Amino acid sequence: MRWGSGRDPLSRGAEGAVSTHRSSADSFRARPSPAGSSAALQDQRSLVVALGRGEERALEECFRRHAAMVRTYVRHFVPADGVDDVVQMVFLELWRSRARLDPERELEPWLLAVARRRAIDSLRRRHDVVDASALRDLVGDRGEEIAERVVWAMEVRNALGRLPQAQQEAIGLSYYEQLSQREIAERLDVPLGTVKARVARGLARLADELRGSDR
Amino acid sequence: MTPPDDPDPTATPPPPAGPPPPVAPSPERPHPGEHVGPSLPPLLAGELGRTETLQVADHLQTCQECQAALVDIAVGTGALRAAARIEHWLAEPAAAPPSSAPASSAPASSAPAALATRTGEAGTPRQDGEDIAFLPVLREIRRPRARLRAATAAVAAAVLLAGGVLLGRQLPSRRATSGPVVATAALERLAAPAPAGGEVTVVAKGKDRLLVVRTANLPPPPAGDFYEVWLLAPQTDKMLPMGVLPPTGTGSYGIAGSIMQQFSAVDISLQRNNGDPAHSKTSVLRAYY
Repeated sequence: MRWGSGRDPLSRGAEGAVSTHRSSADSFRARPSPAGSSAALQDQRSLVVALGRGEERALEECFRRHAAMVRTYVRHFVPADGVDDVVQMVFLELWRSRARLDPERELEPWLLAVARRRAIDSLRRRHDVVDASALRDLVGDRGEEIAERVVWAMEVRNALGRLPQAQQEAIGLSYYEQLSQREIAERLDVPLGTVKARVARGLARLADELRGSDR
Repeated sequence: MTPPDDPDPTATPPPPAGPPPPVAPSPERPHPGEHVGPSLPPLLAGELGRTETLQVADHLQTCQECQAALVDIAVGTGALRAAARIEHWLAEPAAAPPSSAPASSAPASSAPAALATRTGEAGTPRQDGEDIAFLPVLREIRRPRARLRAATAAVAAAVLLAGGVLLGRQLPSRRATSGPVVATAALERLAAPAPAGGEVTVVAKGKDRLLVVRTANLPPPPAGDFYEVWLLAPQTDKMLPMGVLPPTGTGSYGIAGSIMQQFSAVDISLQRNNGDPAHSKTSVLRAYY
């Protein structure tokens, strides 16, 4: 079913056609800068350098790109009334640590490591009953492993975002929404062979992208 | 679904470049000898039937090109499945719902659902989205004292809400909406004009759920039209009508928890009063819970 509004996040417009799994799609793809944003901040290295110089717009850009992922991560562990505080603290800490950040390293693992620590603090500070499993999933090796997987999931989303639109769409429906190829063909109203070709080409290219992003 | 397998394709193997076989296979089925790259993703996803699986296997035995393709496709498949798995797991609210909420059971997740243990009304009225949340960070950096003012304002808002009155709008009675809050989400604007918004809260009533919809700044519908509340499953576009939104902009709707959990969004549509019970396709507000 199509929906009437052009603002509808489910509508398949020119952008954002990969998935209707909103929490995933919105949270896990680093958002591109708006058109007016400085080209100098486009790549992550320049962004961290600008942050180190104390440019507030670099912090804004970091927030724009990564806050949704941090929020999704935190929200899983921390009760709703504490999520905002933790997200705020993560980006405050990013700002305060700006001079010590290494521009050669990815920002996402750093952000999630901080988010994990602040989420633990937040849970331990609470006077009401705290979810033991949430704490268990945050601390120790298990917590680190989960944070690592979240970063990996984001890298996969970003790599997917660099594929041609038709391949993104077919792969998104297949792997994030778990439709069969036949169902995808019906939904997109294209021959099954076309879906097969798009997914296969897209996966091969995705593997290339992922190997390329492995630093 | 995969079509039924051919009786026995090995009985009359057509030559690679020869005339079409007597029983033409579907166009997407690989011919023996043809490269099988496009069939590898559905193979790994378990979407192929016996005949096709064995044809692909036969071909892979000897074709180095397709063996190389299999490596790429396995890497891509594994990465995507890992990503989807952790995303679905994270999308489950672990700490948000209260203890009496049923263990979340998103079908896509294999992770054990974390049980939440908070009790009482946890429905924090808040907007979702980094743009809104971003402001306090900058304020903190630019004017450290602003944080105190923001906190004071937040407390004031919470007190107002707890009193049952927000922006002069009467909320449903505490009695009607009391109970553990299972989910809460902001209503985001679709076709509605700014600054329309609001929130939805799902309250557990034993095995049942009470959906409380509170809109804010939603203009009265044009004469003869009305707003209707729906449950929506965005992944399948499945919809369930919950009822008309009262003119106060606030309404409560009871529903069995087992049905509620098949949906993940609340949609408010603008409907014409023309007797057509279907969704008008004009969504004014939507919340993902």
